[in-house]
Amino acid sequence: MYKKIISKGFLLAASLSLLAGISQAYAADPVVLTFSTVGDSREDPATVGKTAQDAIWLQNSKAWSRIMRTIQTQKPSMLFFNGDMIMGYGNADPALVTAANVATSDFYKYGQQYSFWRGMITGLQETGTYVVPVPGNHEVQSKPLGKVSQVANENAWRANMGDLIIDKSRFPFPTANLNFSGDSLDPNFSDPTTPDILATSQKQLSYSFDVADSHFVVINTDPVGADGLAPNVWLSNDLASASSRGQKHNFIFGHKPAKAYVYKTGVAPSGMNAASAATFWSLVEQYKATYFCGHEHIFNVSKPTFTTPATTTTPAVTVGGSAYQVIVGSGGSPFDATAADITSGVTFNPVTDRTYAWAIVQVHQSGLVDIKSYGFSDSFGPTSLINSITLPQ
Amino acid sequence: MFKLITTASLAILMFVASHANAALIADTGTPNPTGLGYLLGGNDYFAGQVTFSQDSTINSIQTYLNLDSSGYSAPDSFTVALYSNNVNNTVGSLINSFTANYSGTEGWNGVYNISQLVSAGKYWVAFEGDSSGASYIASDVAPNPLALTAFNSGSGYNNSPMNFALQVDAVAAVPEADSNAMFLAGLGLLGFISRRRKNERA
Repeated sequence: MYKKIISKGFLLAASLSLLAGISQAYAADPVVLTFSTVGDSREDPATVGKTAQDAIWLQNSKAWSRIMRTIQTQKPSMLFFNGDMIMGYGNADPALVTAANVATSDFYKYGQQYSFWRGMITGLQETGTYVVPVPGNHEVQSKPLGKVSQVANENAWRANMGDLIIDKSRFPFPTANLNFSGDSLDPNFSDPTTPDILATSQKQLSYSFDVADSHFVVINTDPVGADGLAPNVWLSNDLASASSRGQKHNFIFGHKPAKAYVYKTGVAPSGMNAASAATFWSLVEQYKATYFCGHEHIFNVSKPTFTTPATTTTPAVTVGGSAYQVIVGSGGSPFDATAADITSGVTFNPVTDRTYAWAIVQVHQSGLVDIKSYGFSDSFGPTSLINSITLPQ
Repeated sequence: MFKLITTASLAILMFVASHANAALIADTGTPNPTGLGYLLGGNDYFAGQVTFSQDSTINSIQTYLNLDSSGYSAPDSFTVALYSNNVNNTVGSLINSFTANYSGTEGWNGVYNISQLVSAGKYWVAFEGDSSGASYIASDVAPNPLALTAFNSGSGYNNSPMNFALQVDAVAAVPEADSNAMFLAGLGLLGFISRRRKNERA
């Protein structure tokens, strides 16, 4: 009788301790903040072949909506969209609109394309994922005017995206430090001490905010008068300020890569201006930040390095190799790598070079940060976890 | 009395031996986890085709999973579903579904002791996430992949080559002809022994 009681008691205790162990394992280092990031969902009128709808509104609806459906189930608090949500690339100056050209004007087309994209993200916004927009070259530059950013296009950005930056009534972190009033966080072109050569206010184009102990920075990598340049002086001041506030994590979002992913031999790199990128990356490394971007329609994770050339007085210096650059310009725009590139095996990462991909970042209570990237192939196969990295505390 | 018990026990043992031929109907083997794999979540399901050569009772269905979701709080669950097979070898209509509780650790996870009867034929076994629950990663690169697999990312199941792990354990519901013959032969032998002893006593 006693033996029976003892053995049953032992079994119960063992079961309870096992359950407790499992619960503790999950409670040990809970995730305190989750956000996702992707970019480049716009279609190209020259290659659009999906649907009649996409030919008009220039959006890869099938890929982009599937990405959003899965992101929705992954429940991030925010989605940073790293630019090129519209085809744009024209001149959205309202002064160019006449009674005769109103329906064909760029001003009209920009409104049409922005509206469609905004409509597509509404489901995410209404189910707890706040969409934070990042300007891309297709929003601010004009191709006919030499791939140069336009004042009118920066204004069109603010008119169509400004309410998202940041709508405090909808933002899921009521206690977040959203210091957006006025132009206080502008790169401040009027400040004669700043070497950021900016011709226009960057209000709602480059901005930053804090959520808990994470600092988020959005940069416009193609400001008017400084195409391809990161606002490094403003960024340096901003990161120093965040550091002084005690922010532990720095996440930077821009459109153009600091260092382009050359996915096959002979491809011309397409990213930031090289000199600006080297300075930018030294800041990324100094503040232990992670840079998420798009522009290249491909997925790639790397730890870029930059070498400044030797001079007569100084040797060549290499910076980088520690911080991550995550390119997720794979939200639906025509892939840079062609199907023939993959079948002929000339790309460096054939498994993921034509994958519609996005990243989910999980900040743990301990300070560990997981960056997981998911995607599905260009033939719309199953969704897979394609890359997983953990940043040190 | 003792002899009666012995005889009855022997008969039961023979019956059980002839009927309880539990077997892994599908077994891809255990994958070597890479940390990567297929997403199982509220919008991403996957399924594999399984063939039963005779009428069977399914005991367990499991796949090799690890937790992926951020907002997990134990216990969490996912769905294991059984679908019919269409003539063109695609996923057919839902037959039954079961709730699987995640064990809390990476490894084989699924449903057990479900006693699901199936007639001989082809079926699809599916793993489906819950939009309000956690998501998981199903380890890929199983040693013996299934011949036919499918995924569903919100627009129905589509056949696509996948390499997730699957184990389906089942018991034949009706004994095979040779099992029945053995069972009858055993009964005959017992009867013969019993009769002979009776005659000896007489």
